[in-house]
Amino acid sequence: MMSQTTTSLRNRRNDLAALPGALHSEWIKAISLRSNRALILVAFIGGAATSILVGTLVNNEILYVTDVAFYWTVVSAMFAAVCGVASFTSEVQHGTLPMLLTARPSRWWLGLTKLVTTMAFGATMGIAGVAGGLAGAVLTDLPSGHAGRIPATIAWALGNTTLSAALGLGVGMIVRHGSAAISGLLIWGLVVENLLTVFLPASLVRFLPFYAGTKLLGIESDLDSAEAIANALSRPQSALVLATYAATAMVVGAILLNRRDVE
Amino acid sequence: MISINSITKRFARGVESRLAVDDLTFDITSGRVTGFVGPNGAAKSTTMRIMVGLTRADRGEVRFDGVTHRQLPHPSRVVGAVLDPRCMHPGRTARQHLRATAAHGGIPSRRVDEVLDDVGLTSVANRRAGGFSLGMRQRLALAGALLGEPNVLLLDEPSNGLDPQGIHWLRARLSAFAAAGGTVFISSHLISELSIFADDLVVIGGGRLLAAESVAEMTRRVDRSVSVATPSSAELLTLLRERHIDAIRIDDRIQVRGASADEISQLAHSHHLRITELSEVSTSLEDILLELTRSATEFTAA
Repeated sequence: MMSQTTTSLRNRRNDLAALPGALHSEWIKAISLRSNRALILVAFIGGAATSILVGTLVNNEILYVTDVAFYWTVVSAMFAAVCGVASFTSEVQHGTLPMLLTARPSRWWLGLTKLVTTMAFGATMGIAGVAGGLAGAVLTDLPSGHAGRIPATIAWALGNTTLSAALGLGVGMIVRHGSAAISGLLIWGLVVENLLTVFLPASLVRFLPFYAGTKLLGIESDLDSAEAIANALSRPQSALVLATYAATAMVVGAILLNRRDVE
Repeated sequence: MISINSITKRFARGVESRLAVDDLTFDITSGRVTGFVGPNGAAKSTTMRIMVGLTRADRGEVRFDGVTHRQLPHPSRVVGAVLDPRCMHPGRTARQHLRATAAHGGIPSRRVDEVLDDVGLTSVANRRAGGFSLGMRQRLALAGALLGEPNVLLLDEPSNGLDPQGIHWLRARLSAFAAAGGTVFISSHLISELSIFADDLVVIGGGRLLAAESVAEMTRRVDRSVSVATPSSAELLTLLRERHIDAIRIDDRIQVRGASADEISQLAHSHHLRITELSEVSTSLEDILLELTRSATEFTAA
C-alpha cells in the first residue's frame, strides 16, 4: 500500500516536472464546470447580438464589420477579468486551495499555473466574443471596411481579454474574497473609470487599465475629444499599460499568496 | 516517524497578538493511530496546518522521516491530509474532483476509481458534490487523501457528520491503514471516540502539550474506587483503616480505594455489618481530559 519513502528532497526540477500535471488539473477543473461553458456561450451570443442590434438600429452613420465586430470585446474583457478573479477566489471559497498546496507546496508555481490557465480562458472568451461579433456583423450585411485590419484587431482584442483575465486573477489573489473582488473590479471598470475619463486630463486617462484595454481595439468614436485623440497611445503602448497593471497585480498577488497563511 | 519540534505560532490581529501554539514538541510513531485531543480552540487544526505548511510556524519545524513537508518531492505520495471536509467545488462530480486532484498531484488517473471504490462512493461518482451529505463529503475528502497511496494520513475531525455505520467504517479503515505500516494522526475533541481505536494520544490545551502517551498508559490513570452505603459506617471505616485501606466518609457513604467491592463485601459480612449499597465508581478518560485541560480551556460555559 505504501508507495514511497522520503529519501530525496524536492528541487526545482520536481516543480517543473509537476507543471504539466498541474495544468491538466486546471483544464479538468475548467471544463467540468457548466458555468464556464455557459460563459463562453454568453460571450458568443453577446457578440453576435451586439453586432446585429448595432447594425440594425444605427442608421445615422456608416458602420463597418472591422469596428462593430469588436464592440462586444469591451464586455468580454470585463467578463474575462471577473473569471480571472473567480479562478482563484473560488479555490479559497470552496476550501480547495489548502488541498492544492498540500499536494504541491510551491506557491509560486501555483500562481504560474493559475496565470497560464486564466489567460487561456481569457483568450477563449475573447475568441468566442469576436467570433460572435463577426458572425452578427456579417449576418447584418455591414460593409467589411478595411478587411485587412481584421486579423490584427483580433490579435489585439485577444490581448485585451487575456490581459484583463490576468489582471482579474491578480486582484483575486490580493483580495481573496470573491464577491468583494468582483464587485470592486466591476465598480472600477464600469463606474470609476468612466467618471475619471470625464474629470481627469486625457494625458492621465490614457493610463487607466480598462481604458487602455479598450484602446487596443482601435475603435474610433465621435465622442473622443480632440485632446483625447491628441494624447492617445498607440496599440502597443496601450497594451503595455494594461500589461503593467496585470503584471503588478499578479506580482503583488503572488507575493501575498507566498507570505500569507492559508486558512 | 513524524517529529514535531518546538513549534510556536503567534497570530497577530492589529496591535493584539495571541500565542496559538506554544513550543509544542512530540513524536508520532509509524504503524500506529495517534489521536490528537484537546478542547475547542486548543490549536489542533493550527498544528495540523503547520505540519503541512499551510500555516507557517514562527519557530520550530515538523519533519516526516527527517524531511519537512516543503522538501518532499511528491508530498501527496507521502502525506494525505483532510483538514476540511468541504474542500470540493459543489459544481464538480466526485470523479471530476478526484481526477483534478490526481492530475495536480501527479498521480495516475486509474487511482480515482480505486479510491472511489475504497470509500464506497462508486455509485455516486458522477453526482455533483454540491448534493452530497457531510458524511459523503467526508468520504470523498478521505478518497482525495488516499489517492497518492501515502504512508501518512492527517485527519482533522474526520468523523464529524458520519453516521454510526460510517464511523465504524472509518475506524476499521484507519486501523487497517496503520496495521499496514501507515501513520495515522487524527484529531478530535472527543477522547472517548479516539480511545476506541487509537494506539497513542496527544493531548493539547491552549496550544501547549499536556500529555503524549499510549492509550494504555492513559487508561492506567483512571481512578477506580468503591462507594459503600451502610448504617454501620463508623465500624466499617475502622475495619478498613485497620487494614490500611484508604477509606473516607463522603456524606452518608464511604469511598474506598485499594479494595474491590468483593473484598469489602466479605469484610462486612464477616463482621455482621449490613451493607445497603455497594458500587464501583471509576473516572473516565473524558474526566482525565477535562482535568488535564481544565486550565487551558478557552471557551467554557458560566
